Amino acid sequence: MPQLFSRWRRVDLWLIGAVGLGILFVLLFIIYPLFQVISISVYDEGHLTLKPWQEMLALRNWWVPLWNTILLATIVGITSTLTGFIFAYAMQRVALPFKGLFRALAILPIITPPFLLALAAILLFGRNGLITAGLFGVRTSAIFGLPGLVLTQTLSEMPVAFLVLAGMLGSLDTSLEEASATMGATPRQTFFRVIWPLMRPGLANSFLLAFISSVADFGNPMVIGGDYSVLSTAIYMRITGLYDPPGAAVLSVVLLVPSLIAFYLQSQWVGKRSYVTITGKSSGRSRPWNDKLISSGATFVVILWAMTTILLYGSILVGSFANVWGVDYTLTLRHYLFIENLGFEPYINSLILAVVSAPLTALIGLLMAYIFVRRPFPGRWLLEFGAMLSFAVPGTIIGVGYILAFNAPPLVLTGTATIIIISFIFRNMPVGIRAGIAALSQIDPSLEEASAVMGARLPTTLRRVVVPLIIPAIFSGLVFSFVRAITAISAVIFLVSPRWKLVTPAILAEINQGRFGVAAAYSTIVVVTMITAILIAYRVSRQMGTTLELQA
Amino acid sequence: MTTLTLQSVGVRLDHVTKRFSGGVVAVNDVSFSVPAGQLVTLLGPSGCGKTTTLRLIAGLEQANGGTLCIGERDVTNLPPHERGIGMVFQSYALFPHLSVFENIAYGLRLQKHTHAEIRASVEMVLHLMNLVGLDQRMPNQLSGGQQQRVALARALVLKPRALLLDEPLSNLDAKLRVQMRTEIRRLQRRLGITAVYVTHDQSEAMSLSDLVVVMNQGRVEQIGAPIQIYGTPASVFVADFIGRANFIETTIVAVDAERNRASVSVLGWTLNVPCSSEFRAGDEVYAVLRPEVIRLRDEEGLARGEVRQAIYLGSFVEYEIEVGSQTLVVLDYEPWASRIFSEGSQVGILFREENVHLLRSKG
Repeated sequence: MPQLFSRWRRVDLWLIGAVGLGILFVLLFIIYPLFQVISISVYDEGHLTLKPWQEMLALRNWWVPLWNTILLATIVGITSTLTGFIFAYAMQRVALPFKGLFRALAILPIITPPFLLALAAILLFGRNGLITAGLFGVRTSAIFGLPGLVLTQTLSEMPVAFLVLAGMLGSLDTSLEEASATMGATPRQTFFRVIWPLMRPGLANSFLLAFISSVADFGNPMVIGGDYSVLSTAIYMRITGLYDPPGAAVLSVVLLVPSLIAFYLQSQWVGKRSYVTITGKSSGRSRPWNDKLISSGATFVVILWAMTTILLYGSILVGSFANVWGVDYTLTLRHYLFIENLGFEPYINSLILAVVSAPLTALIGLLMAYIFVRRPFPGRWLLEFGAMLSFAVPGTIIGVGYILAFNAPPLVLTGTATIIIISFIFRNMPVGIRAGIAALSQIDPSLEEASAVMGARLPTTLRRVVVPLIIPAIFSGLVFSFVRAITAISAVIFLVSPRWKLVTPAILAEINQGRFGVAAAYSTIVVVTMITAILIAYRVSRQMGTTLELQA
Repeated sequence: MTTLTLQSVGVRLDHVTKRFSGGVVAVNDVSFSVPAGQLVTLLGPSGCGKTTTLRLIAGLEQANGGTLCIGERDVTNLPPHERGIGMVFQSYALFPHLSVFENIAYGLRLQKHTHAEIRASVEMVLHLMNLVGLDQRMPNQLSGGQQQRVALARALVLKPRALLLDEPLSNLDAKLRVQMRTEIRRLQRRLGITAVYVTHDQSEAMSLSDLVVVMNQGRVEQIGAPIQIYGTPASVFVADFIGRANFIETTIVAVDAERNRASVSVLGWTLNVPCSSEFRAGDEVYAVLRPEVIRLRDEEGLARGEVRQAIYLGSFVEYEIEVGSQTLVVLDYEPWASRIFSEGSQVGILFREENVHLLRSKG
């Protein structure tokens, strides 16, 4: 026994080191920047002040961006949850051909920069839009503002809702529906009396996820927001347009409120109210009796959605080759040549920084997940709180926080690649943590205990026992950290510098200059890169004998 | 308090086949009928098609061929909600978002009964199933046995024409299982309800059924009362699956067709055993001996053997006896009547000719 105890003691030393490092990172790169944002809004040259707040409240219509943000997020929460549910239902319960294709199309927005959809919407429905001007001869800017934002954000949030709800529907015990049928319920009655009520917690969950994401969205409002001002873009304007950091900080604090409330509800209330039990029974098998109206309705929505998606991404592809969109559709390579002249530097930088940050993100995420799942220790809440914040706080605020925190000693990082990598790691860490937690909770702790009893220390146990078992999760975490790094915009737009340009801000700049062709060409390169990367990842994961877990 | 009155009807399957999209034939040309008011179990190993057969009767799967009648009505192409059956699922399938009361009232509400009618019916089955006082609980606040009773109550309250049960006791612990199966049988008899009961547990099937349908690889192996299934199994599979059996390979020497007897050589002795009319002299057969029909004696028996293993299990002793090249399993349920033989000792083997059952060894 004494020997066993001394081994555990050594394990604990490793653990303390890991936890200490984790807490240090969380304090330095999540809490401290946030603290900077909050403090600059109430603190000036050594004394407390309410001046920035008074200045904001003095503005006429100061509440408009807040109201706009919440209104948009509410609409998008509802629309994306409903479409996500319809999609999930169609995939899980309706016999459809080409399910793989529909699934891929539904998920495509996850792996592309979100504002590409806004660009596409302008190409289709803008003043020179293919459909508005080309088809109907209407020159209108109606797409700019709320309608365009609802369209593009619904498209970009739907995949998350779809994945959440499809997972839930898939693990719903099908015998509940069958029991309902044997008690005389028609498929439609079963749908409304059993499936719908059982899905309510999932629907609420996906509503809140979409809400959080919409509140945090920066790219779409930048491109297609028009006069519809939301908080994330207002903050950006304060910093870049007016160079008013205290004003930006005030708006950031305002933006934090709905984000954190929604996140709190999502994690504390909805997350714990679920009827889903994993039965281990296969579901989603073809059912002989289905309600015609519901299944054909769902099929209609799926097909319409798929066609819209193809149209939107197609317009970017075509737009990259069209001479002057809306005027002259002759094919040309001039947009690509233009990029070549500018240099592919932003694109290459994005790739390099994503490749560097992805393994670090996966590693830190896994370590955090391991600590959360397996090693209760005092102060764990601080790590969990930090990890939660990095997910809940909109990227725009993180961006502001980083330039405030790391522009001056002790740590000067602005303008470097390091700060971009750090922002990637701490923005994407939740993806790795969630993947790790999901994988770890499926592994019996006695495996690790057996390893420890046989004399292995924590690193050895991790390397020889845990890691081999959760390779698929690590790999998924890796792939999606990479994807999110390439497609990120909200935080990094504050952190790019002449030396370290990235591809997403570059595309945004082209759109703002009105060079849609160049933006489309750039976007096409990014989309092709992402699809290639994902296909390679799928191939690799299949060779490892696993499947790539899609994550939102 | 009104009691539940049911109009039970028979269930008939005629050459029913179910082929899944992967090409697996789960149910292959299955025919049997369940007389009104009787309980029939579908018994077989996992994957034998018994659950699929039940799901076909319920309408949860659609047959690829054959006809399925509930009462006089051909229901082959009817969806489940039009079949008028009740079903109890292995997982109970209680709606987690509804209270016990609302779970039981579910089907009644669909039928648009009045408030008072629903309340009366639900209370009646709550009484029937011994669930009084639990009606406001949620399913996750109930024990396994209570959930099971709610599932039954929910099916019975709709006065189904037939009740289908899919391994309803497999999630209960051993003691409760025995208690519940007696309860189910008593209830079924009292209500006179037609029931089809799927199980892989032979003791459940033996104790519950009027008729047992033994299934294997999607086909019916034998249909019969428990005593027929055990005493005169129709195939090697049935003999092996139900209870335990010693199979002794031999050949029929002669057949006395008039008296339905056959001469066979078993363990070096020529015996005159019962046989059906299908056998001819020269047929290769198994002589099937149940382990408990064999008696061990100190003195000479029909044959002599050596005790290879003796395991004392309280109410009985299990022996492995080597007789020539043959190893026999023997169960002695009366060890107190003679004595327990030790391993390595020589014993005489006795059994009655009437207890030998002949089975064709192949084909």
